[in-house]
Amino acid sequence: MTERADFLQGTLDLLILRSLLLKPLHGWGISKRIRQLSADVLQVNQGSLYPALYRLEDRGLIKSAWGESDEGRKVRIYSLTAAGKKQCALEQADWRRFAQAIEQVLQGT
Amino acid sequence: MLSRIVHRLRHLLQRRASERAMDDEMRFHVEMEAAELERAGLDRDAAMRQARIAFGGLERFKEEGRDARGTRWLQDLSHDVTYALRQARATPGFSAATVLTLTLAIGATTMMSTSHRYLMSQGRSVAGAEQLVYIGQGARDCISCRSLAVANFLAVREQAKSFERIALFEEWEPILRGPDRAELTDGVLTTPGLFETLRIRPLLGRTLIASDTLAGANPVIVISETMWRVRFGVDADMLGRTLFLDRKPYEVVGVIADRDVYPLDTELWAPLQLRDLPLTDRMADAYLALARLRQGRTADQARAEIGMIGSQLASAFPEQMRDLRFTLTPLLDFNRPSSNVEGWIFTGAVALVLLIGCINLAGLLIARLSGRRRELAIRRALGAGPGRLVRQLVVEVTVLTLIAGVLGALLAIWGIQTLVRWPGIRVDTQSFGLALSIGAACGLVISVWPAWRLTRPTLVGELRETTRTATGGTDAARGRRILVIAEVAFSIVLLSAAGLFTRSLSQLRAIEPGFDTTRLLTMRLAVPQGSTARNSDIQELVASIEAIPGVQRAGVGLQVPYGVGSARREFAIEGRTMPDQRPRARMNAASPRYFEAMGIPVLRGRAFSVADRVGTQRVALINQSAAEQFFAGRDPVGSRVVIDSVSWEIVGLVGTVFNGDPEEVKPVEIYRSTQQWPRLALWIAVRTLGEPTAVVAPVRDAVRRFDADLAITRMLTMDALRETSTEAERRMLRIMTSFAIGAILISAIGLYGLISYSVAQRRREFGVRLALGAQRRTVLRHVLAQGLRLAVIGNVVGVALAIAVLRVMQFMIFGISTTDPLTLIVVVTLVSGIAVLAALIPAQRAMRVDPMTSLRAD
Repeated sequence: MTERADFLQGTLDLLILRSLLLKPLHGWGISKRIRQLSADVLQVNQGSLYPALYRLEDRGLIKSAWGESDEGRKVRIYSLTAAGKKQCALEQADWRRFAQAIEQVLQGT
Repeated sequence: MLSRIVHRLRHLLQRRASERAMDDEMRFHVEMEAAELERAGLDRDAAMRQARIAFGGLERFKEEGRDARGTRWLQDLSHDVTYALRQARATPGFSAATVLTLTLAIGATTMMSTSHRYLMSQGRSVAGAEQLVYIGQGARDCISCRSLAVANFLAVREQAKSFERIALFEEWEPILRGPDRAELTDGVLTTPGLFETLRIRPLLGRTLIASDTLAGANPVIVISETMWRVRFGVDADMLGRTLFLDRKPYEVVGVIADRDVYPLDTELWAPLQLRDLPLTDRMADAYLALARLRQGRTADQARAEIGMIGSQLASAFPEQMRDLRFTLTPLLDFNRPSSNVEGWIFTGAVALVLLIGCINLAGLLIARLSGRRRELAIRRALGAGPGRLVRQLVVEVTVLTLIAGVLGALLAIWGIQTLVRWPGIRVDTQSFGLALSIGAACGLVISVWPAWRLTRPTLVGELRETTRTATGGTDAARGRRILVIAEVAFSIVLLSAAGLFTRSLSQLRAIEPGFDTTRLLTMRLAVPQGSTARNSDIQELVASIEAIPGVQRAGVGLQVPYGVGSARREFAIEGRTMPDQRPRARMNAASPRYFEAMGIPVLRGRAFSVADRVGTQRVALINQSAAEQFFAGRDPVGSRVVIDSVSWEIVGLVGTVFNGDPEEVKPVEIYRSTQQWPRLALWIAVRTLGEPTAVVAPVRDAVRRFDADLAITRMLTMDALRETSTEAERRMLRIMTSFAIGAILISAIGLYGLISYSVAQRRREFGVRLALGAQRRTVLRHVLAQGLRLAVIGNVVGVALAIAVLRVMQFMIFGISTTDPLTLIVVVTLVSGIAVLAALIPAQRAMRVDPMTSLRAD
């Protein structure tokens, strides 16, 4: 459990950026979207999403603004910045290369 | 980057809002999750629980979230400081002990550093001081001889290429005639080059120039700003005024600013007339030669060059120069207290206090941290990172260090003013900064490593272990015991040093002076240079002093006890051959009623009388020590001594007087009559009927009426003069005693802390023992024994250490050995007593443990 979480930690940033690519979302929305996109395979402690969000905001990859949820509650809505979009593309490419390499290794054996 | 800073700052400034937003956001998340689960069919409570589990530890993520924003350190800092202050109030014992320890350590270090810098600063203010060197001459083994003969100075000035400038000067103490009294001043006679060598520009007028030394030049003088201010009230028409120095007129041509004054405390500079000096005598090294190295030349190069010149001179003048060589010493080295053992002992004492302080601090912190293991473990479990906890501890120590810093500064100021008392010494900020850094560094290093260690271990184990421990038999406890033993041992060393100084001083004071020191006023009479000593004049002065009401007797002597001490010279005893060694004695001189005035007993024969005058039989007196040494039992009266080929008849034997020099408790002394051997500079001794200070003004008036150009210096009662002779010893004693008190105080705190802590840890055990029927007195004895055991080991180690280390003090103490048993016994008793006291309070606490309460606790 912990090992998987550690592994996911590194990729969490990418997942957040990816899920914000379509439209701005609030925290829970991002969490839900990640689960949807991965068909519930990737299960993280949902709370760990938030430190990751603040870190990304601190790095200037996403920005946040007050908005309203579908239920009309005041919430923080996160969206990608230009730098965030670029970073997303970069990390996506990196990840693909990495996944390919692993795939090759696995097929080779 | 900028946006990032702005982002961080916004969060920092709106900390509360940002904190609330984070909380809202996370709650919202959990609620949404729960709502969704509820829609999926779970009941409300189950959905909420499930959502919380899925979210994970709320507080942990908040912590991480704050971290992610990078603003945390500042928020945390203010938390930590508040928390530290709260902690400090919650554990007043620990805080007080820590602050006290650090205060003593910082105070002592500041004092030490200030004194050191004070000693080093002399000459430091001179412009480009590192380029200045003294050239001297001396025997082969002389390392830093400072004085030079004029002939050699001229040779060096002519031949050496290493120096930009070179100047020759000598000390000069002329008497300045004043409106109401004449005063001795501190001056130098110098070649005009001194000012260029030192790169001094005058504050007013000019400095000395070459033409001032020409034959027939108008005598001129340069004065210091202090003299201008103190003696002439900043007279605007100072330049051109005439001063009478040693009866001769000098025209003031310049004023030197105080910051430029060199040598220190000089008030007057007058031209040195080289042509009047012994220009061929290469051994008359009575002068100082100061030179400035040429740009780019090093002291070693210059030393080599003057060495060459020296060997050339040695072959040219083998008679005079055979055993001489030239030396070169940088000006700044003269004031370096490296050879100063007193300074080293001082430094050693401070280092020991600092060491004891650090050891104590380590002990205190270890104890406190082990007491707080549980708290730290709980805080970790609640989500605080290890770095965060270490920082918390660091902040706590820093807060305490800062408080101690303020107190330490006050302590240092007090210490410098009351213990050291060097003129003009002040606590400087750099010294204080150094001490504060050392104190803080000690505290931090010592607090961080155990903190780091204690924040590491697995949480569960830690929580379980510390919940219920009966005894504290851990590594930390053993470490602390060793620390306390070390503290006690080092305190013994310091206390022994202080004890030895105390004993030495009382031994010194116990020496019989050999004369009556009460109701006695003495003063040195300074006579202008070029005066001739005429006995009839002095007799007239003595008579006028004796005429003052309240004066019983007056006399003059060449030297009085506790003064400077008379010179030692060789002499011969007539009719006796001394093959291997000629006898030596201190040569003093006295007027007829000197012995009566001083209260020195005449043991045999007679004292001098007014009938002993030039033309009659030359007479001398010897003291008891001389009689014992040279006449072993026989009556010396009637024998004759030969001094400088002149024969003197011994007419009496007088008591030996102590000169204040511990090296020579019973000096061998010969007195000649001042009437037959007139001297210039004399001491006047006045025996009074009542309080000696009452006749100070009338005596001054009598001297002034006698001659307006005679100056009186060092006018003191004999009791005061006697005190000044032990000033250095008393300073050393004051300093050492206060350090020793500091050390024993710190050690007592350490011991008390250790025992208290172990008693607190073992409350339960004591409760069980008492419940099982142990006597309360047994518990008390048990705890006391625990403290005493440490004290005894510390005592043994300390005494061994003191015997080994304090040997270096042997030459500084008088009348006892450094292993003086009495001192060691007193010190050991004192330390043991303090140890018992320190252990007694916690021991009593242990005795009063209520079995029921202690067993129910936890």
